Amino acid sequence: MAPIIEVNNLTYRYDLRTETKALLSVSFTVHRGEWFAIIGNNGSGKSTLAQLLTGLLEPQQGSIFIADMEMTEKSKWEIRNRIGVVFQNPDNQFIGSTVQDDVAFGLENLNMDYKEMKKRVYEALKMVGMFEYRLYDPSHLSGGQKQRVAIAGALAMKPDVLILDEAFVMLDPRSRRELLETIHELKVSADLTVVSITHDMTEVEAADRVVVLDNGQVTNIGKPREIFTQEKELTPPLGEKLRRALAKRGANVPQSYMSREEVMCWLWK
Amino acid sequence: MNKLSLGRYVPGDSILHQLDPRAKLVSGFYFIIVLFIANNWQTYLLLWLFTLGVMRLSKVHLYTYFRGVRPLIWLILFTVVLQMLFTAGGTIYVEWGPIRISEFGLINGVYIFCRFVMIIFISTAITLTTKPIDLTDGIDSLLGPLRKLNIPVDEISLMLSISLRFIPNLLDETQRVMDAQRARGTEFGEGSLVQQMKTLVPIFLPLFTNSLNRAEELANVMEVKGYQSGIKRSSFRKLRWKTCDTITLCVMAALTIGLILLRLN
Ligand SMILES: Nc1ncnc2c1ncn2[C@@H]1O[C@H](COP(=O)(O)OP(=O)(O)O)[C@@H](O)[C@H]1O
Ligand SMILES: [Mg+2]
Repeated sequence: MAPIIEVNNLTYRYDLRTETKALLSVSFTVHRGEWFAIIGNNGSGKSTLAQLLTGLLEPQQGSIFIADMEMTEKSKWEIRNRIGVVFQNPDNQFIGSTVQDDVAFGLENLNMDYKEMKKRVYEALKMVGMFEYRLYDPSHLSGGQKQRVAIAGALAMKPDVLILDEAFVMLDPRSRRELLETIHELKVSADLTVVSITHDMTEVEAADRVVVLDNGQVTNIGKPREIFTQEKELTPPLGEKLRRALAKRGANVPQSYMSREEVMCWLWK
Repeated sequence: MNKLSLGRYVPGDSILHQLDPRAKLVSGFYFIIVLFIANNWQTYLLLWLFTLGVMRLSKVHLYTYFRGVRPLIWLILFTVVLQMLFTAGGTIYVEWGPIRISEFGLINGVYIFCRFVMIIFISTAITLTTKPIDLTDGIDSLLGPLRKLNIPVDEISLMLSISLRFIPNLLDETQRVMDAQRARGTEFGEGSLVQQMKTLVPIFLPLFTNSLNRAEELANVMEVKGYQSGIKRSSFRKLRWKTCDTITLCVMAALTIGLILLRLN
């Protein structure tokens, strides 16, 4: 698998007068078509990383390659045409005066013609289940609905890489599940790469790989089952939780990490 | 939040709602110009009929229109009184020291009052039936030719539309901050002027910082979505000129002819 994102030795400091670094020597690669989860406590540097990946901040040290292009002042516009981003606060990223205007904003910047634009906007709105709301203005939407619009705006760009910064926090569990499924389908059908900053352990469990950030540093990187086995302070997903509870009670469960399906199979035996 | 509903858009499906914003803007400005043709009671009667007809067509409650006049009533009365006092001619009705109200003065005062109120009613009819964003688009389209003079028309109208989009947020936020301060025992609108000003400081500071943060995040999002000032952008919102818009302009022309004929009489 070819890497689509390569981050080497990335270091970032907001305040150059102090030594506190928001990110310190962060390195990782993300492969094409992978679902890559980023987890970590508040203030661990996740959003900073998202801003570096989109060229909003310039690294003090290290480099970022996306789709074989190094992120520079010049190349960032080209790179941005290939990534879709959803930031944390849905209210402050609603630019349009209606739902459909907002989804169209990025397409307008590509100078896309009206017919194609309309098709893409409608498609994206249907994907996130906001089509009926297309003429609403943002003051009549809930936080979760605004997040869905923001996701539609990113999907309408048909990006190679989708970067999500806690993009689902305001959604109810069911819409969250549905949206994750939709994006998973795109990942398979359109070879979309997803970089998702999240606190949702169910989502982390479904990711291909996970990186753990702590105080601006990468403390762990690997498959979800490895991460959940090694990082004891993480709340594990339901299956593993059940396995650990059973083990504690002295049941004769396997010693290693189990997903929900695995636990179910084991229980049925 | 409701106090600020002056000139706010009221959703509806009246003919006025369906008109192209450009037609409404052009007619609105044109109306102000033709007002100056009027010089006798017949012409003013025609203008009033037109104004009331437009208000009727908007299907918005009359009360909303009067609310539009209220904040300006003192300014209007002041102008009217000045006009009355300083126009001479005809029979003199009141003579009280240096104050003198003449027949012409009185008539002029009434005319001025009518002009003011009609302008307010017509512009209110426009803002009540046109979404702010459509108004922005209309202005953008009408100012289009200025692009040739290197005036950044698109940037200005985008800025305008984003500002409009954030007005409700700002109002909500103000309300929230005020409630938070009230919960801490602040009482607004009480005490001396200085005290009242002081209670406002803790409201404006958080609002100001919030707005700055918001602006920065918004700029980030626009940048990431590929917005650069000066690039060629297509537009998802499209204004469509319809037959009823052409008819509107014809009505304005007919109004002008009617006024000229009545004036010549
Ligand atoms: N604009 C900023 N200016 C200064 N410091 C910042 C700024 N944004 C974030 N930080 C600091 O950088 C660190 C990482 O923040 P952030 O990337 O937002 O973390 P996370 O998204 O993981 O919660 C925090 O200590 C935060 O206080
Ligand atoms: Mg964050």
